[in-house]
Amino acid sequence: MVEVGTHILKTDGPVTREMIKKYASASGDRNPIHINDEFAEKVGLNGVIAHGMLSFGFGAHHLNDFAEELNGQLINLGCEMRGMVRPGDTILTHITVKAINDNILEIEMIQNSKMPLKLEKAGERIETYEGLERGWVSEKEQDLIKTEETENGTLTYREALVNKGWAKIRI
Amino acid sequence: MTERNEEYFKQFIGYEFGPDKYRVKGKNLSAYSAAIGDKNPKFYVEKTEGEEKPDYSNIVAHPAYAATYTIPGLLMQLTEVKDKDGNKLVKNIGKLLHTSQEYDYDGCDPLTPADKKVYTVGKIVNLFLKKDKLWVELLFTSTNADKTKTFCRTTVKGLLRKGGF
Repeated sequence: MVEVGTHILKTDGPVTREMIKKYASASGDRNPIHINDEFAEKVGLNGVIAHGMLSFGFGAHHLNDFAEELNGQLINLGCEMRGMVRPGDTILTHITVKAINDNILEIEMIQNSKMPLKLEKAGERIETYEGLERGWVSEKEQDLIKTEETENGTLTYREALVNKGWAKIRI
Repeated sequence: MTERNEEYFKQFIGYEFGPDKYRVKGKNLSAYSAAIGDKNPKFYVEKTEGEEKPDYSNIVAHPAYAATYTIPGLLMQLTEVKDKDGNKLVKNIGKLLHTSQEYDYDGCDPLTPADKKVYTVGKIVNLFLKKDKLWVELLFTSTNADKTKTFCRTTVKGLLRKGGF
């Protein structure tokens, strides 16, 4: 039963350079900022970034699955691109039903990227991730750094908004 | 040369450009769906070992696939939009930042490998200056050759930074 407030959380990734290359090849968008680290560094990006349409594609996949579960049809989808996704990031897609008008569900889709920075156990660092090594967390993102306990230790990560999206499903 | 102020840019509102032609191939539809992690058999065909040529004829394009046949080609065509004196609207496409897109499929036909080609025309819907940037809203309509099928209506928003217009 779907109602206003119904919420789904889906996870994709971690995004790898291989996934970005496959998206570049499948979409035809071979802009070197996505596939060539050296080029991306030259243009001031400090390494490659994933296509905005890759993370949006993950979201479109989950929106379509949600529509099919309801025997409905995805008739509209869009997003504003708000942030960059880097190799190593995990994409969290939050899908929430905001309104139901006649047979149309109005959906909000929020996508955050979770960038791992370091993993510690008993006060010792056991892994340092690319995000920390290359300084991918900007000054203004410092307050987005959080920690969580995992089975492998304490993970420090940065979670930031990458896409603010919406959709309509006809049921 | 005419001053490139708010009034100057208004002349481009309603300007139509294109069409951009895009060739549809079943294996590309399938590869795209796999690249975004969706192996729904509606969009994707699993290649089996030793199989010479998988049958892609029964799949349709993923709803996210419009990203391939609308945005890249049409944004390049934007570089050919000119005023009445032949001056280009976009001086440096490298200064363009794509900020949002919306795909509207209501009443549209599914895109299949049998459609072979998609023709997309673009229209400048809005154009305005704000904080030293030129904000652009474009509407792309993707159809078959004789316009008996519409595959998607795409709204793209972006901005041109200083030096781009």
